[in-house]
Amino acid sequence: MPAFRNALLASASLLLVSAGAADTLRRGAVAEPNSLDPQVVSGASSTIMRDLFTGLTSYDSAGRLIPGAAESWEISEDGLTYRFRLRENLKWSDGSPIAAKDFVYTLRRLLTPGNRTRFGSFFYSIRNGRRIMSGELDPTELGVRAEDERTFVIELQRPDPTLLEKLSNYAAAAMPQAVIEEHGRRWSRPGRVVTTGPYRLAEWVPQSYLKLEKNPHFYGADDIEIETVQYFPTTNAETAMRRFLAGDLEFLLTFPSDRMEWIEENLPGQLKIWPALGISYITFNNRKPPFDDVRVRRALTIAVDRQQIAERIMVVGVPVAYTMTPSVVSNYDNPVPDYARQPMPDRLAEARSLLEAAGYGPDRPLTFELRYEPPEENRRLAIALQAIWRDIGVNTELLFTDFGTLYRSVRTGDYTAARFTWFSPTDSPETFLFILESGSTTNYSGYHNAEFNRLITVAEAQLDRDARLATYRKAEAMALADYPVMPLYFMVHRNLVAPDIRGYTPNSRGMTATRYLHRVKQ
Amino acid sequence: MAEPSQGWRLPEEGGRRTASPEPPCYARAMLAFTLRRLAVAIPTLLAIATASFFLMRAAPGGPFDTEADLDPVVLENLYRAYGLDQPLLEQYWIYLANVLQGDFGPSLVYEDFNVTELIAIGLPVSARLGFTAMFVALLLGATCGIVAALRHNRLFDHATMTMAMTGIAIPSFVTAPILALFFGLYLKLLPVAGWNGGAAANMVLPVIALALPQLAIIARLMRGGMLEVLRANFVRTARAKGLPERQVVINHVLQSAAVPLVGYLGPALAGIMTGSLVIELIFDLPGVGRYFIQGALNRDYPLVMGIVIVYGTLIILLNLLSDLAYAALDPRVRRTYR
Repeated sequence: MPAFRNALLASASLLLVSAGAADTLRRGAVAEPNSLDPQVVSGASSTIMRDLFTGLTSYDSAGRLIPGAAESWEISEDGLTYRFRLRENLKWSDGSPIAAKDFVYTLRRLLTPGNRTRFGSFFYSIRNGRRIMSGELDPTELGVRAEDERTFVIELQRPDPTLLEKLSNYAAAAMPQAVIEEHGRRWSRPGRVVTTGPYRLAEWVPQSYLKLEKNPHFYGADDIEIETVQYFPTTNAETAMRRFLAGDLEFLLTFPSDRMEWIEENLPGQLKIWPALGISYITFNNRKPPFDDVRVRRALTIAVDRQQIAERIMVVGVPVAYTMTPSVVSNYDNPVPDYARQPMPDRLAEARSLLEAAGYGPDRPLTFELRYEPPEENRRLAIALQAIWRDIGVNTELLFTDFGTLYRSVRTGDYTAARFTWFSPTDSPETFLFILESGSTTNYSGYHNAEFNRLITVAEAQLDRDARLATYRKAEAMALADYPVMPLYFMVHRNLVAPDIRGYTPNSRGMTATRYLHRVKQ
Repeated sequence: MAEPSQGWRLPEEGGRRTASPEPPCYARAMLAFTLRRLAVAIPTLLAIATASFFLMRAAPGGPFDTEADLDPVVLENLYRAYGLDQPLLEQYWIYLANVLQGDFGPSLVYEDFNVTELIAIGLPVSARLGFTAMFVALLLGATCGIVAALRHNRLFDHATMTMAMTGIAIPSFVTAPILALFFGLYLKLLPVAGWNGGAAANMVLPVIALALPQLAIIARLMRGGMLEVLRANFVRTARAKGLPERQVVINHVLQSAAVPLVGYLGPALAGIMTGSLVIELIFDLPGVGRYFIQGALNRDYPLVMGIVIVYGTLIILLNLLSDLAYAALDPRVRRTYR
């Protein structure tokens, strides 16, 4: 049995190796990055990308906005001009200097059509941004310029209160023009890519792992304790969980929710759950029956006991949602509708009479199709909703599809009702309310309210934070009275972290940058 | 023990290679057969490529739909960058022309890579797993089958066949997590998942999970073949002329009994490589199967097509190999190939 003996020896040496390499952190990644080009990569790999690239602004270990590549900035009184002062001795991971012109290149590249970039629409507020992206204008017309080596200026065409947050995105971090032009699509391979963040890319074996090592030229390199971090893409959540239990992975961004109870009992203190800037909601297609009738939308919305859903279906302890904007959004008082405070029997009675008024009853029950997508917990949710609505005489037909099919059907309006999730890139109500704005990309319900649209435009132009948030609140309350969509619960971050890993404060943005983490002796 | 006279052997004895030399036209016939099969393979592959191209496109959704929040202008630019804004037929012709030049195009899910590069990374992993599993299955399965047939209707036979039935009935997505839990988490002997550059320890559990159902099938096939041949006239003759049982089995029975197995091995080997996608997911292995799943879920047309074409080619080649092996083992089959 020499093969088996070899196997035993190999596994023993594997254990020794992983015990010896104490400065390597082994993290799980939800998916293989679709690219390591920061402007091409999709949102799913943001933790990896933030380890590799740092924008003009950044976040601290508790998710608060702090200076990044820029040490300071000034905003003009009209809120239209941002002047950034770059740090002294700012360097790429190969040691060569980063200058203001690199940021000019970055934002132009991001908004140039044909570059396969994803986050261009974040920066439509920059002068001519949208027109460049749609090919009308040349990228040189973009409202960005380098005043000198260390001064970078952005000119907006409308005030954008979330610009500083959005500039922390890796897509707006300095991009190495020379490397990109030399290697084209393959510039982001190990050995070629140069980065600006706390780490640089050492190895990339697709579907196996990414190995990042500390970037000695990063401005904050002295404070970084974890020398090497490896990300292992694990598409199967159960496998990720087993690897965590075996000590093979030390930091998971998610875990199977049905293991919740077991984890709480057996891994005390390793589970971190806290509210995220995200919502799970049902979008009704307002453009066609039965959901073109506000009575039907209201009936279905008020009939669902959110507390039950949160406690019994979504075992991970999600906050209940009656509004689009999560309660965790800073400085915002979300306008909770009145029905939330009414007792359930009254709400069910009202739902029944609303359906009756809309022409539905035992002889002609309301029947519609609800679409939902993986993971498994959505199936439980869909079945629970089906049971709840059956109580008020509604037949819900469930249709399980993959992500692609679901997104395509809601985007083209070819659906009746669908469960959907939205995560906001910024700590503000605006992208949650875009879901209800006419013509917005994320308005899948087809809801149209001219006054709501007007209020959103007004709010966007308000520089005073409190006044702006008050306008958003007014707009949100107005739209919610039409029940265009049904908020269900707010999303949570759920991490599993090995007990000896410390250094971050759970935050709504879900920032868990490796640069702040450290290991304590157990 | 003296070897009995060769003159006693009957012509239908099993057609060993050491038997009477083949007439010279045999090699030419085999060559013609191979060429004919390869010629048929080209239209077959073309049909596979065409069918999968249009089937993929008929599936709802597009490659970038999983990124729900993409701005329409951004999306339009993406489609243009990948040539997906062209009319479908035109895309088809462009695709075929590229494939004929050996270019499967860029992946739409792993955008820094070409499909060819991804297959070159994944296929060796899948192949190594598949071949190892098949080798283990063949070695153990054939042994079990032979012993079971020789102990026909005795305890060993019944025990082996019960286990084989269980092996066939339990799917690998059940055995794999159990193996990982038992050997990985409970006994802490082996890693629960991961490839680790193909280290032996990381291969043990996936290979077992992959080999078990194959092992069971092979054991049953081998036993069936043996039982049939053991009752054949030429075996009775061999015994009648006084050969010891050991020689009867080794020299006369085994070769003929293996014929049904050879027919099974070619397609099975291709199947074990495609079929390993569940195992690859459960054990986090960087094989082609995972690319295939991710590609299909994300509508990565070039990636899925590339893998389908590579697998199609593999299946055709392995089938051809198993047909040739058939012919080498059995003269009756050989005659039909002319």
